[in-house]
Amino acid sequence: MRIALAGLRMLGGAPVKLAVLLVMWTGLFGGMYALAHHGIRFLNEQAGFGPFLLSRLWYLFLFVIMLMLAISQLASAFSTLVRAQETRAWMLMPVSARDLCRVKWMESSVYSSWAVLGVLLPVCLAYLHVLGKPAWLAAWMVLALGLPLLSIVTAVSTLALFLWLRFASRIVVRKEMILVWLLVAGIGLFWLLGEQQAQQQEDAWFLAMQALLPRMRLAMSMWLPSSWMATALDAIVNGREREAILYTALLWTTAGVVWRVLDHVAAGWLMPLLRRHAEPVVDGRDRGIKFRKFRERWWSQGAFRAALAKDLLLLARDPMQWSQAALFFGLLGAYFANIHRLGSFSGDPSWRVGIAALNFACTLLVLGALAVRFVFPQLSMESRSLWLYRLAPGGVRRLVGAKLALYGAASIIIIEGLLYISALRLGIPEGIRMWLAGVGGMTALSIVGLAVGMGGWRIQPRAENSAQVVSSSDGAMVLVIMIAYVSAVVFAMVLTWQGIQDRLPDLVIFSTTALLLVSVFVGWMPVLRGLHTLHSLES
Amino acid sequence: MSVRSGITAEGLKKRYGRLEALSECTFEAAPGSIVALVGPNGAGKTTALKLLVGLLAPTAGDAWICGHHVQREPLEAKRVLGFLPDQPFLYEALTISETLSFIGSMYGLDRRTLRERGNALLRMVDLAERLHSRVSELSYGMKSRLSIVTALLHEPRALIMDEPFFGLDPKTLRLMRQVMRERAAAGTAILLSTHQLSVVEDLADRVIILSRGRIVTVDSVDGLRRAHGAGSLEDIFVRLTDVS
Repeated sequence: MRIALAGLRMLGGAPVKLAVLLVMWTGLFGGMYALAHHGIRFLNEQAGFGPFLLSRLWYLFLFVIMLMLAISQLASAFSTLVRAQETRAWMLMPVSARDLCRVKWMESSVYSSWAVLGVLLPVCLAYLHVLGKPAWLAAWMVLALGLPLLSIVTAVSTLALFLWLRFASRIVVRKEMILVWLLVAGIGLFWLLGEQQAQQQEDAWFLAMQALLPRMRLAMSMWLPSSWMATALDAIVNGREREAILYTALLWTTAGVVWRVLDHVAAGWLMPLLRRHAEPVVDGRDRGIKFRKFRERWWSQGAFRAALAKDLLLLARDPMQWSQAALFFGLLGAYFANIHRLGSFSGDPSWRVGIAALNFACTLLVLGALAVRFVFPQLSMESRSLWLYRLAPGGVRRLVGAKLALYGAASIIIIEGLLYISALRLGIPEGIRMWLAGVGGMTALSIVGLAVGMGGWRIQPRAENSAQVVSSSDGAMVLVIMIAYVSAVVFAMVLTWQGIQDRLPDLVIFSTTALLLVSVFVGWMPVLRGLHTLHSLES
Repeated sequence: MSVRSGITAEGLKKRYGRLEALSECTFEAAPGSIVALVGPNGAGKTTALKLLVGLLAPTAGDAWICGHHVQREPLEAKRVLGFLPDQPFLYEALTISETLSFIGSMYGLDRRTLRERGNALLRMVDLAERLHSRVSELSYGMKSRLSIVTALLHEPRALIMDEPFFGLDPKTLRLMRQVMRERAAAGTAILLSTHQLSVVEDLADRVIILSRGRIVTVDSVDGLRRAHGAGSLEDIFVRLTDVS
């Protein structure tokens, strides 16, 4: 509690970060509510089967929530309970295994559940509003039903983690492989929906419903706590209060039982598992051989090439970076490749260009988010070795240049590839396509320049990990600038299209030139400032 | 080893697959004594200390802290044990005052005791004026001094320290030695691992020299000089651990 309060106090002392979080949460909440309201109202207004389907969809929705939460809690519990340095520190103190497990389970549950609650609340509010029920019922749904459901799922997940560590810890699943499988599954799903649509000439959402409905029996199984919550929900909106109370009591009772089981298992298993996991992994392989061969290659000679080779090696050995990028961009690519088959398409070029603009914005936002998360903190993480670059002639320029080259090249390839797929599938006119290609490359470089430059300009030499750098006020500021820049790009695109439609070449030239100037300012000014800071930093 | 009233290792062994990190080590730090554990890098010092504090489970052998078996009575052993790791863990977001409150709560200290002991210890390490400073604002030396305070707050009867002198300025180094002498005089058993042999010569009652997971010798500094020829502890150390 003290640590949490201290964290909140620090957040209060960072108004920019707090403002960004509030704005993002408000936007997310409002967007979720609007989306849910639209969908629920549509279904509710379908005569006959609509309300029936709606009540059944809650079973499916909560079932999916339950699955997502279970997977999320597995990862959260592993990092919070097993890998955290704090756990080692607590193991040195007279803290019982039960107490350690309880505290860490609560902490990991908060990490894994906050997003679920964030999704559940607006959906509940929208549902109640459509049905004309009082809004305060949403609080009951979340607190009386949602909390015990979350508790049951997170406790069972934590138990599953203990079982894994106890009996199957030798089976190591590499994190990046999980993301690759997710990507393959996503691509497969898009392709399947596209193929089905091509064969049956029906909208994708209808096909999805056709496939899902027969399989809902699993999601409606009365052995699942998600089904209890859905049943209680259905009971309360239809006036069956006693049934609602019974299912609420069932949820809380089950939560209590699962907590006690977790307690007992933790008392016996937790400390031996943690000690086993604290043992160092002894790997006798000589990793130096590969690096020596790597260095012998011609392009690793020279200061710039060495800096570039070093960044390439670090990127290759950091699965978190490239696997997340592969996942997000891969899913985007799969979506763009099948976009022409997933829904009803208007022949109106403005509509298609509008979709292309949205696709472009989405791609830039993903690139921007990944750049802030992984590229922005890099110079702070290298600050301890900055003295080395500052002693070498032109070392700092090469350090920054290598990062710009590596991430700039990768970004251009990804952005141009995705834009090409999107434009091809949407049948965008050639002129707009060329404009997109040029602007796409320019904005990719600007985003990378912004991330690298700000990383140098607002370097944090005392930060111990990249998450600390990203979650600081500077990280929030860079994210805000990134979002504002992407918005400006989309606005420029809309203006350009308007100019083309209305045959106003001046408007096209103006919007393109303005975008060019903004991109240069956003991308290169931070780089110049960053170089200046790195040269003059007193370490 | 009949009493086990201090820090006791009996036949401690630790194996990682084929690698034997520690081979049946038996030693003791009696109450009121300072015992130094020295050895080359990779000798097994940190492994031995982690076995004694319960962070690792031994492949064989037993570890006792003030008569409590570390594996069988972990809570009782930890209540009387203070441990200073080579990289102390402190919550950067908390102030010194909050850190001590947190540690005190973990050891079951009441508010009055916590306040009295905390203030006394902070005055001793010259951090009393930074009571409301956040840990993130402290220098490395200040964090080291705060770590000592957290290790001593519950007045442990046994103190284990892993590289406590690393990176300290002369003033803090002197302070650390003073604290250790005072604690030993008060009856605390102290076991420390260090590379700073000059400090060991000045401070330690007994020296355990570890090499490749095995105890090479256990003796006082004077005893080592008598047995292995006159010279500095460094010369003796190099001679005994040289495997070429």
